[in-house]
Amino acid sequence: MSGEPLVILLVEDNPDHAELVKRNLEDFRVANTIYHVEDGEAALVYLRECGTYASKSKFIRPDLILLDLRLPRIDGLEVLKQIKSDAKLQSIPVVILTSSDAERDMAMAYEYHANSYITKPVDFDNLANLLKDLGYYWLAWNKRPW
Amino acid sequence: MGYLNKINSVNAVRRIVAAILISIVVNELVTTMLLRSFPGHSGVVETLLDGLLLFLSSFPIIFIFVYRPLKHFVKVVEEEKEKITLSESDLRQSDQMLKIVLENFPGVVFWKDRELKYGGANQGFAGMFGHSRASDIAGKTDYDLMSDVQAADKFRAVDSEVMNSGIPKLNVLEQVKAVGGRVIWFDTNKIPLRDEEGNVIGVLGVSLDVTERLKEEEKLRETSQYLDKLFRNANAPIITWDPSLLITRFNDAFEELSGYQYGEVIGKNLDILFPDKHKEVSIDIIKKTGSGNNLKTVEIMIQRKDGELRSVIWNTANVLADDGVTIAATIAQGQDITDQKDAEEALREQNDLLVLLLKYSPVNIFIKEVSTKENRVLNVSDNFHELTGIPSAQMIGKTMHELFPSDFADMIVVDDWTIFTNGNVLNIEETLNGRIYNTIKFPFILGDKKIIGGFSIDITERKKAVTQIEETVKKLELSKEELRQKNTELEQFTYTVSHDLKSPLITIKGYSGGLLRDLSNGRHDRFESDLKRIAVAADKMTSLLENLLELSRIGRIVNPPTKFSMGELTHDVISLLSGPITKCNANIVVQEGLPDIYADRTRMHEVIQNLVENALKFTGERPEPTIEIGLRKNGVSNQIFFIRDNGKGIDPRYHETVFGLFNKLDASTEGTGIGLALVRRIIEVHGGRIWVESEGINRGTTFCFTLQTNEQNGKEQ
Repeated sequence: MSGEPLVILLVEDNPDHAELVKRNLEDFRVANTIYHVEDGEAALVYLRECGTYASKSKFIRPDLILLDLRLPRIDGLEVLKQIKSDAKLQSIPVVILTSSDAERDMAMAYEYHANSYITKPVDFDNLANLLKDLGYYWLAWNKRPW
Repeated sequence: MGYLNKINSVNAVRRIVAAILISIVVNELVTTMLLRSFPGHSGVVETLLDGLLLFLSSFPIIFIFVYRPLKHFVKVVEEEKEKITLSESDLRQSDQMLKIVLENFPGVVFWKDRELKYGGANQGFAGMFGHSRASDIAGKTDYDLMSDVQAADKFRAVDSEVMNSGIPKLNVLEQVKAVGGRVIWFDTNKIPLRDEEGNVIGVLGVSLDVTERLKEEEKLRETSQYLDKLFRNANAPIITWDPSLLITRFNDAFEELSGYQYGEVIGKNLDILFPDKHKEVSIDIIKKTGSGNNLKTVEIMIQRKDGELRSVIWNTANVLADDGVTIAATIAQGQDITDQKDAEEALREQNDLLVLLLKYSPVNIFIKEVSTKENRVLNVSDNFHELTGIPSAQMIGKTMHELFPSDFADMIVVDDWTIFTNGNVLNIEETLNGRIYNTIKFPFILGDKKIIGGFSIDITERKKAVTQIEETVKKLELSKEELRQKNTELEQFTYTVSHDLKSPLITIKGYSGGLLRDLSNGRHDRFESDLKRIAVAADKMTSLLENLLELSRIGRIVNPPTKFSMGELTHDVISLLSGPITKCNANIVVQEGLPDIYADRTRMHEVIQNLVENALKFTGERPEPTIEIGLRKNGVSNQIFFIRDNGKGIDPRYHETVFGLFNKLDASTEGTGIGLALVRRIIEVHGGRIWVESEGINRGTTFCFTLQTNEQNGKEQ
């Protein structure tokens, strides 16, 4: 376990789901900080260091982005596409965390260079385990240059 | 003819004069004179008489020239006759009379004795040889009179022959060279003179100068030959026959026409030319010419020698005899019209075909004579009465304006003249009395007539069928498109449903699992909020399911369209929403005079309600929220209804996505995001279109939609 502070950007329009994710990740002490935005547009604004989040005293580049696909305004795939085509952002791992298990969504996500695609399990324990493993994998075990 | 008549009258005169000469001159004077000249030879008188008579009757033409002097002479003789008695004492007077006769006789008279010495001659004879007095001739021989010995021998030989044989030689053509070299042709009769015993004692020569006559005869022969040539070589077949219908002449052209040679038909009955079947009838017709009529272009068929039948047009003329009444001959000219008749026959056959065509044609056929201003029907097919209501036969000669409505006739006349002048075939569709015709017209010239011919086919049914097929195809295309759209919609729907319905489930399961874990860990602080989350998610699930059912109903269940006022409907919605409106303190403006529309009223109510609720939702934060509902008229059939708010507006990027199923621009707002999807569905089911107009954030939003408001479209739903 690294001693570095780990930052996750959670893009999730459903506040209940966001809360579930946050709780599980916190319970396992995987992430130091979780930033949550509710739509695609807000996510892109955050990532481009402007808008409402830019004024915050402490802008932190996320180490991992958890991205829902079905989002108001700009949907997840579009957000993914823009991140992966932005030289400054494309190195951030993006994990698609969605309730959709449609093949089309999966195929599109990988085409837009998603680093991982995970469907939200309906069962609570599965969700908890998944998020724990996810945290460990990306934030503790996965080696990164920064 | 004139010439012939002349001959005939001369002949008549000839007889009279001969009679006079016989009765008067010869009987009395000449006898006396001759008796004196040949004393003791009384038989000579009779011989002379015969000779003269014979002589005179053989010179018809000459008598015209001698008639007058003779007449005069006869008169003198008659006067003298009174004075003459049979007394010998008057002989002297008679001698004088003979002299007068001889002197005035237009011919030449001479007589020789057996020794061929001239006993005497008349003045004419003497003058011919340069002697002034007749008496100078007596005692001379031919050698004395003419230098040409051979000629003299010839004369003498004949004279001797007559005397030796005792037989007169009549009409001997002799040539005499007169004084001065003039050549005279004589027609001479030489008669032996006898004494009482019958012994030849001399010869009498009576000659007439026929030089002129020969010339005339030559001329006549030439003329005759010329006429004959003309007749034979004439292009037209010419034939003549006599009153007994025997063929007398037949020219080359007639040979060609009939195939008979001249020699084969001359003298034959005319009926040789006619086919057996028609012989009697044809001859009967020909015989009519015998009663003085001429055939004028009468058709009588002839049968050629080779058996072929030819149609011939005959023209005849009668040649009358001297009396001007009797028919001497008939001349006829024939014209072979067989080829013409064959052509006529062919033409008639074609015409018969045309008549049949016009009678039974299923296509309307017309032939018109055209001009710049008006056209006339020359012929039409029998079925044309279906177009005009007038029997086809009665249409012939009628003008376009007599047959058709004025504007239609005007169009035809202009069309026809255009085709005629540019020479093109016209292929058009015309509408007459609600029927559609495909008409093909073409120009041509017939003699001096400008003609337009054409065909019209009633294609009304065909067009109807084509239109129906086209409509069916269009409908099929539409339903295909609709199907494709529905498919896409369904796919989207399934996807949306699987995602959006799963979402509350995740919440419910997630928090209930969390509650269980908290329970086992003895942690109770989140119980209440988590249970609330579970309840809300369940509610959300319920409303999603209800919305989905609602959406699926639209398009499947449609209430019959009714006519209602859009204004009334709008006011109903506003009173229904009076609660929220008051809560937002919103100002609602409804345009006056919104039209009546034809639609499913319940559904339209949902549309207006949704749009107004939507507007309220996004104007709540404005200081003076205002919602306007009205009609933007864009032409008669294109009515655009609008609902405008002065709320937060919509970024142009989301103008399309706002209508997506469960799409929400703001996750924090109420509702499932089905409202606009529902509205669009209803509008589209009504054949309309819906869209958003907004200049951007905080600039307000206008939802516009159109409807097919006319009754017919409403019914089709």
